Amino acid sequence: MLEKQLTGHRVDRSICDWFWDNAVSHGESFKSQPVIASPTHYLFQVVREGITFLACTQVEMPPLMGIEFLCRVADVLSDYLGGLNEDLVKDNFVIVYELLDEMIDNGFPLTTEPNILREMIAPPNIVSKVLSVVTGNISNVSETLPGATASCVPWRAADTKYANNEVYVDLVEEMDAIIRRDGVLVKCEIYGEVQVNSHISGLPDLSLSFVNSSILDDVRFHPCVRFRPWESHQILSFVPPDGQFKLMSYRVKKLKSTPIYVKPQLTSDAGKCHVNVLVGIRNDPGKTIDSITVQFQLPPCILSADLNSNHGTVTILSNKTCSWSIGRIPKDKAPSLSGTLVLETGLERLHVFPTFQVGFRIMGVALSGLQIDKLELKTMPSRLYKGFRALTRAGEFEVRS
Amino acid sequence: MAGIRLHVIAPLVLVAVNKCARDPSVYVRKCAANALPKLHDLRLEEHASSLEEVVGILLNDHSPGVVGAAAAAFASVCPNNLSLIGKNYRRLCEILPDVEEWGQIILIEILLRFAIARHGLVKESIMFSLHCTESSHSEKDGSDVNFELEKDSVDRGGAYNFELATMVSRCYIEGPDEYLSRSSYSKRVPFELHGVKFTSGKTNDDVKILLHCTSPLLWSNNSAVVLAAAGVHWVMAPREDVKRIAKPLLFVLRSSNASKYVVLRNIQVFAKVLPSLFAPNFEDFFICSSDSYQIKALKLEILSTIATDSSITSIFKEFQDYIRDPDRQFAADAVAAIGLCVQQLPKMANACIDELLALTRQEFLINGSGDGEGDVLLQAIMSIKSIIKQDPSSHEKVIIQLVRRLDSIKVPAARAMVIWMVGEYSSLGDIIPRMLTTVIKYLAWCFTSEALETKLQILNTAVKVLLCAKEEELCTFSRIFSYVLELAECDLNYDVRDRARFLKKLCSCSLGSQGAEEVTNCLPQQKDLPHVVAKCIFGKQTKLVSPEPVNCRFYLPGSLSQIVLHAAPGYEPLPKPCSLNVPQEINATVRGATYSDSEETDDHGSSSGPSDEENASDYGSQNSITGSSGSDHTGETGFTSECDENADPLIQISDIGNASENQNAVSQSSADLGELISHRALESWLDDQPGSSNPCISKQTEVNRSSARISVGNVGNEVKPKIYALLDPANGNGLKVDYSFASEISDISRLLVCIEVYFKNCSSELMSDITLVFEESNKGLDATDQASLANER
Repeated sequence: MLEKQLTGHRVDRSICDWFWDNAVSHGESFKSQPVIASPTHYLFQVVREGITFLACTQVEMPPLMGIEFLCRVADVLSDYLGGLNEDLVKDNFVIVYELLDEMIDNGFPLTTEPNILREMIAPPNIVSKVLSVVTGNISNVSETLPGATASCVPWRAADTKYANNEVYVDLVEEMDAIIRRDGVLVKCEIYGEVQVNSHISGLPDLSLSFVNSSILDDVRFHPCVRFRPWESHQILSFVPPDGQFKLMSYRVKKLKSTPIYVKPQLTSDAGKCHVNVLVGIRNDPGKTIDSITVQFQLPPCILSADLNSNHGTVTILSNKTCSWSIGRIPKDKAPSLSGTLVLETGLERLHVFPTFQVGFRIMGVALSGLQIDKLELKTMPSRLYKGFRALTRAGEFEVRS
Repeated sequence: MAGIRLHVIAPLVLVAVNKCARDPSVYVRKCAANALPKLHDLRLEEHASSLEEVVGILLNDHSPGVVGAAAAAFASVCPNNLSLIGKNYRRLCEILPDVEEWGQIILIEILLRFAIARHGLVKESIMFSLHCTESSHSEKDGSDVNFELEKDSVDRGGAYNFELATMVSRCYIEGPDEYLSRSSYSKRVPFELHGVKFTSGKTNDDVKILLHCTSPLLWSNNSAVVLAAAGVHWVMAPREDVKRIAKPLLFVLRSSNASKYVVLRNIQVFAKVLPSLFAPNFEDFFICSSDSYQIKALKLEILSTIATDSSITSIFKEFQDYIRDPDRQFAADAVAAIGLCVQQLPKMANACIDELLALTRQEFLINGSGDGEGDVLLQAIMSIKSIIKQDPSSHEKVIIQLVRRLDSIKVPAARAMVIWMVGEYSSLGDIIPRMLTTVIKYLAWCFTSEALETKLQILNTAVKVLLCAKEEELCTFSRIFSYVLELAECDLNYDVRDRARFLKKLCSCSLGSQGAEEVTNCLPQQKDLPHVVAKCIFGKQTKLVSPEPVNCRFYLPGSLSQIVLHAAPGYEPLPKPCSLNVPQEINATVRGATYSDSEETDDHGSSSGPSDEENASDYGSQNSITGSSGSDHTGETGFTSECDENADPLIQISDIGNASENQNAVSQSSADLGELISHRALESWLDDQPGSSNPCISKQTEVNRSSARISVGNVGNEVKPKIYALLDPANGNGLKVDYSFASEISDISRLLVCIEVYFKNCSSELMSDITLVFEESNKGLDATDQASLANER
């Protein structure tokens, strides 16, 4: 348990005890409650990879502000520590505290931009660890104030220098789809992000435009994006932060088809249920579809399962999660999974049906069809290396049976 | 240094901050702004004004970073000093997109408050269009009774959201506690009738600039900023522009699970008021298996609110899929949602009923096996019931099918529900009455093996059937009934025994007359009274719709209070429209001298909670009686000019006055009842069991129901009992009747609640012969009321 007191009136630690008592007694349902009204405080809770982030307040405030901040803290921590788990947090206690110190002051978020934080507090690495052990100096807070705090572009340091200027733009898309029991595609949309990794000297001013920006249904921007050019010409004009960041996220709705199909069939009779799942390519995106997985949760009324596939491996975990990893679809045959489930005694047929979650990845293709037109550097004429990539993977791709 | 939090050095720090606030470096100024809330926390009363001054300076800053921090300081130091904003309003709006995101959240809220306080509501916005309808209502009919009726008809006409939205906007402005505490519509503050207080979004530049500058923020990466900006548009934007907020809000749903829940809670309110806003995007509320249960439930609720004729088929198909979900609680919710959808779109009734019937057929095979299955079945039957209720005669076959299946339905609550339907629709159509004898015999036969709730319901049904029976069957029914009664009187459970004795007494006449001789009509007078009572009790159930747990509390969108559904400490509703000084002078001159004093009360109105309430009600009475308020003034001449039914001022309070008073009391009590319901709904809401109370209601007798409606106590929310006005001196000929819920438990029954009724004679004349008349359904209250009445006065 880590705690950071923010305001003068101390929050009693007993609130955490209260929280744990309830979390233990109520189990899962309590954990999924983001806003909790305890007898003395209001708690905001974000759970990330087994670590619970709690914020508490006694007075009215926008709850999303609390939640959003906790999410940022989680992001930054996992960025710094290279993952999130109890041991990592324990090992890097000092850094976590330093980060919290910088991120929030008196209950109000201060610096949450990861790039700036990186300048103020050096991320842990082996050298610094060795150094701190040898010299006994444990501070890794930089002595000078980052230049950005004073500039008008708070997300960027003024004096970055690179030998060769590079900028990489990645389109990362996730496909959300719901396929109904009768095989009808009821919802199919793409959630995409434009991720930029920039290593450019000075204060560059970039502008990025798309070939077909009209297909974008909705967008959200990094604070560095200027709104006006987007409103008028759908051009992203921005001064990029240094390093990796998420420039914008977008959504494309109402897509017509999915790259692969998954056809589950469950027939039950006399206490047994026969399962048959077929997977295949529906319309070829032109690149290979790999790491295909199909996952589903066996209903609680099933005693045992015996599942086999003609391609890939099937594993059934102890919590009745069954996952079938296919990988790539072979040319000559369609992968299929078949087997029988034994139902609880007394049950004749299955009345609840699992939902199949599908995962896949396609490199080099943005399924939404979004294409980047050009990326221009306004301020400096210096040579700039530009790289573009695209990737599509499955988001919440569900097939009901 | 401010972080040290020592009182001793505070003045020093203040001097330093003052200096730093004028520092050339942006970073220093920002830190100065950050230090302000810390200083404020030390509660240095003598420095409050200088703190505010510094806030003013910092708000005037031209660097966005400083302004963000200054906004935070403003919110904590002097949130009510809106005139500070006034100086820089325009510049703040323009700088808003450049402020850092956390500052944006705070600044948006401040600007919204300022705009409301300065200019009032926008004429084209949702909030206002509702006021329009409302004001036209009250102008049209003036009196309370009509207004209630009008409201009802509006509700039924499908324009349900008007009423709700009015409530929402009023809650925003006044805070729900205060709003709900006003029991009657006549006491509503009529300020919205004055067009002066409104501004047009098209002509007012301030409003326009606020909307213009917040709209790009809907694209923000920070979900809190999006929600805050959406809140501004929701309150201020012209009606046709509100739809702009739908997509960004839905997009936010794609971010983390926690924020998904919060956003959905807000969408839920928006969707209730304006279903058309989200109707085209219904697909976004389809449920993923990864959603947590709360999110699933919220999505279901939203789906059933926004369903339209065009989307219902696909939504309905989705629901069918949900029923097969392994999470049975969720499946039960989905079934209930089907019922809700049909209530809104009666066209789908037949398709839904078929599906639900198929469900009951299917579920009974496995009933009792899982814990969730019973719930699903129960919900299915409840949905069927609610559909039948809309149009009983066309669904006769459905009832018959259900009754036929009675033997195979094993879940007690579901059984009870079907049995209730038997009793309720016993005289419907021509097939049901014919099979009634068999059914009743069957029920009597299996009475002993039933669960408690089913037993009670069998008793009720038997009475209902008996009362509606025709001559020739009366004999059989009464015999069966007395058989059941005998069984019930020997039951192990005292509830059943009580019920049996109660019913026996009630129906003794009809029973006796039946049992003794076949000729019933010889004793009409004797039989009359209990018979009528019984009919009232059991016949009434058709009319009573089980009170839905309508959430009557609405808080500002995006606030914590909206999520936890009670006002968190520090929650402030929007300021009173046009409460800021500048426009007030204009208003005062327009409206003339009569309002001058009410303006004053309004002025202080936004200062604090409890006194606010006082002021508001004060304000209301002053407006409605034009000049007279309080108890010392007679006000006789003042209000007679308005209420022309009491035209003669010379009338002593005699029979006539009495009659009119009773009239008033009755009309008020209906409003009063509505309020009670809302209270109960609230409490059940707070207890977090929405919907679960519904099944019991149909089974309870009248007495139980009316008392259950005010389930004991106000959960310790109130320290001092709140006084609700039942009759105010303006309507009651100077008689002022207030009531409050007493904190002690009634000595008659734990289920009853003591109500203290205060009578006050505000007029100069003597009053006599005051009687309390309650509506039929208030019977339960009646007894206790009289008791405590004696105590009081």
